[in-house]
Amino acid sequence: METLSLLFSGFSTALQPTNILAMIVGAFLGLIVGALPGIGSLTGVALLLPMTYSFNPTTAIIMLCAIYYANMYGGSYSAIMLNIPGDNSAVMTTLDGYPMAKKGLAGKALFTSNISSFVGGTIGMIILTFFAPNLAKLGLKFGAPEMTSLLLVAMTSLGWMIGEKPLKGLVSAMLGIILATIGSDPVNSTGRFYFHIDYLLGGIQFIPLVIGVFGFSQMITLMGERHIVHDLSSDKKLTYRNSFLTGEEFKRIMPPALRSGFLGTIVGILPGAGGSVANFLGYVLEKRIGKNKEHMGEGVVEGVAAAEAANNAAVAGALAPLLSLGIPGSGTTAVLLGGLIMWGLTPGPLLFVQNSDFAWGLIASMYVANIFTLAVGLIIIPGLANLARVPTRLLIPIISVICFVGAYSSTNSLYGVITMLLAGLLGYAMNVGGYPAAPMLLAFVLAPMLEENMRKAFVMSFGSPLIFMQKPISLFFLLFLAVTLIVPAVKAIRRR
Amino acid sequence: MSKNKKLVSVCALMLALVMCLTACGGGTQQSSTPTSSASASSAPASSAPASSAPESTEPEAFTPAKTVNIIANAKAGTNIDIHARTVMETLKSIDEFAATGANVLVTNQEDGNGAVAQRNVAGLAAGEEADNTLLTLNVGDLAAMLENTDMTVDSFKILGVTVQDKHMIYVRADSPFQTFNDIVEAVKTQKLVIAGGKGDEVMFGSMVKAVIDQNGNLNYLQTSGNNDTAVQVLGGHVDVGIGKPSVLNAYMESGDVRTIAVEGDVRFDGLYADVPTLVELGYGDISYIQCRAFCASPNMSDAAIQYWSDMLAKVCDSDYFVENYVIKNQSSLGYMDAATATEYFLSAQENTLAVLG
Repeated sequence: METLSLLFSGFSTALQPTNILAMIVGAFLGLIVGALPGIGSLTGVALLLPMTYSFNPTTAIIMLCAIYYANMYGGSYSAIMLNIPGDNSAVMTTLDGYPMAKKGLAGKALFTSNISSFVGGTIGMIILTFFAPNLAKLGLKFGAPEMTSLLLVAMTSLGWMIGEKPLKGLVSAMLGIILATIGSDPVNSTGRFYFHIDYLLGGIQFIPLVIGVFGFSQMITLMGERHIVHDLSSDKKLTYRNSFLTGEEFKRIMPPALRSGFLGTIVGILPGAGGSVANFLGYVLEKRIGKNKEHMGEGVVEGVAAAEAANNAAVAGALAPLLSLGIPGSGTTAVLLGGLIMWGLTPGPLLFVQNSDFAWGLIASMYVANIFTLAVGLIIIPGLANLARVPTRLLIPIISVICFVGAYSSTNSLYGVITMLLAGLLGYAMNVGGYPAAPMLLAFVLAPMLEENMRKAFVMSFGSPLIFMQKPISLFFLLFLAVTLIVPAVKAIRRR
Repeated sequence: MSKNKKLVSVCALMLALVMCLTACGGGTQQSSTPTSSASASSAPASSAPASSAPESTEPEAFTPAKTVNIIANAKAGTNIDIHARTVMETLKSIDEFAATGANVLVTNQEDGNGAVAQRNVAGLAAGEEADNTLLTLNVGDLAAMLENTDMTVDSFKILGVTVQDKHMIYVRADSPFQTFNDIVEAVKTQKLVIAGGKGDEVMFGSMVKAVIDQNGNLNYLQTSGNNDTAVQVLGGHVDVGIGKPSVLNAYMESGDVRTIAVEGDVRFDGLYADVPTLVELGYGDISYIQCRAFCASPNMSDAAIQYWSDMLAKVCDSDYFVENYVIKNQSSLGYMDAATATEYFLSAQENTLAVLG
């Protein structure tokens, strides 16, 4: 009850005119920043941070958090319409969102994305409201051994992504791991596989890689299809009404949205994980246990719902350790932390005590921002959905421009563009050869985290592998891993 | 009609090409492509043409160009970026600088973990660009630079140091170690893990290990930064942490951690008033103070070096800088002019090379 009364007092702060205006501005900016590939929430928040120095701290953080949150909505728009994730948290959304758009269901995909983002975000915020300190403490329990075991379990999800040709999927995953090794050693920062090219010391950048593999490769494919005239008259009318989900479709998206909402919140509190990992795992979980898992990847609402609910929930999850312990749960919250310090606030165990108005005002503002962003997202659906009617001949240069600008923006240098071009050629070759891209990207994200945490665990244990068995949480995940590996194998042997 | 459509498509493609060219032209450095960086790496970047020029008795008066570029070799929002932007704002508020009409920009170039920005600045030829381009350089950057590239401190002209961040050694509140000496004693017989971030903290941690660990019982766990270190300590995953006051304040106030030693010979005040310094404890050898400095091309003119060195002094004297950076981050003002800063960085380079082996 006390929590609720504090939340309501937070609403009185959040609903002040200045703060509402800041929320609205932040939500708009977040949608735009999210929809533009290459400019993610981290860049958007970091670039706008100096503008807010003259604001009241509460107003400033409300605006920045609205940007961060709305970015998760916006990232799905270009993912669905152009097959180019607007943010690294929308990569998996492309797998079903874009196929839906190609089938003439762009409006439904966008509607599903908005609703699922709202549901996932609301779940995350409710958990944040009532359990923020407990969530943060749970996150603290995950050290290197625990994260290693968890990531080993996550890596097995690659098996659910490799599709109908396991060997090609495996090759794709291994390619992702190889690409991830380029750069600096995560434990001692020594350069490796960088061929004495300074640019490669920072590794392959994820955003240009994704833009290339998805967007630029698609552009190359479209070049080959530029003479094909699509019969637009056969496309379903892209009206607002046609974008609504039917009752049956609502029933289909709710379970994945709810599951991913909880999963995304938990992933968000884990150190080093964020919206992108949540997006991956939400999708993979649905592919593993969802009712419509056989059709995922072909353009089904469940795929969009699972991915989008998870990344929005992760925003709330990432705020839990930030507000309760002063520990950022993601790259964007790390920037927010810098901003909080500049405004003279000290996020940490005493924030809710010493700056109660600020903390609860922020949490309350997230609820309002969620509603506002949903409303804006729904209103612009018809406009966005009409992008699906753009002729291929015009779509090619549009996608090209977006790819180049997005890749350049992500790194502020030509390195991003070159990476994007090479990744585009790679993605096209993979498409032609029938090698799925999703395992490569999943491995590219998870493998470095696994390596880093495993090596840290060995540093902590002075080389002894027993550390993974001695930590209860780690042991639990290892046992879970063993069960998930052994049981199917035993079943297969018995069937023979 | 079809011709018009073709024309539209061609125009769209041309637009894309123009944007690409614009992006190509956006670089301000000579060696901004990977191939040119690869070829540049085969040629030592530490050439110092200035050393072959006859020494001038007095530098000519220098006036900054219309646009001064401060390059932060890290992402926007990081401490390096915040430091650079605060210096930028402070410069604009200094009357002498404002009177020149010059504008200051901060550009983020984090490619190659900052190595590309370093290479680009080191390669600037003498001229207006070299005289008006500053690069952030921290002592903590030396390890990666020396290990992974052929650049050294001599590849740059060090303009000055603005602030110094001292390291603190801390433990979780319920730790059995009450003092730093407890850790020194314990490490003789027990295996302990000390965590810290990258760069300067690695060096500091290496010094701690070198001084107190004769039996190989102390491992250094490199984390992704101060916040990650705090996670490791608060979660009980490591025994000791190395951190900075700006991160530790909240946990000290809440009583979740205890700081048991501070680098240097001067105690902090406030929350840390009772925390002894390493010098007081007899471990003055353990010192790798993080200095935040600015550097420039080795071809920067003497007049420009003097000018920027003086400007940095004025920045450090400015209330704006003190209030908006030093106090908020609990750094220490530690201005060094160009000559002193160069000596300090060369000394730090020697220490770093000794640790790297």
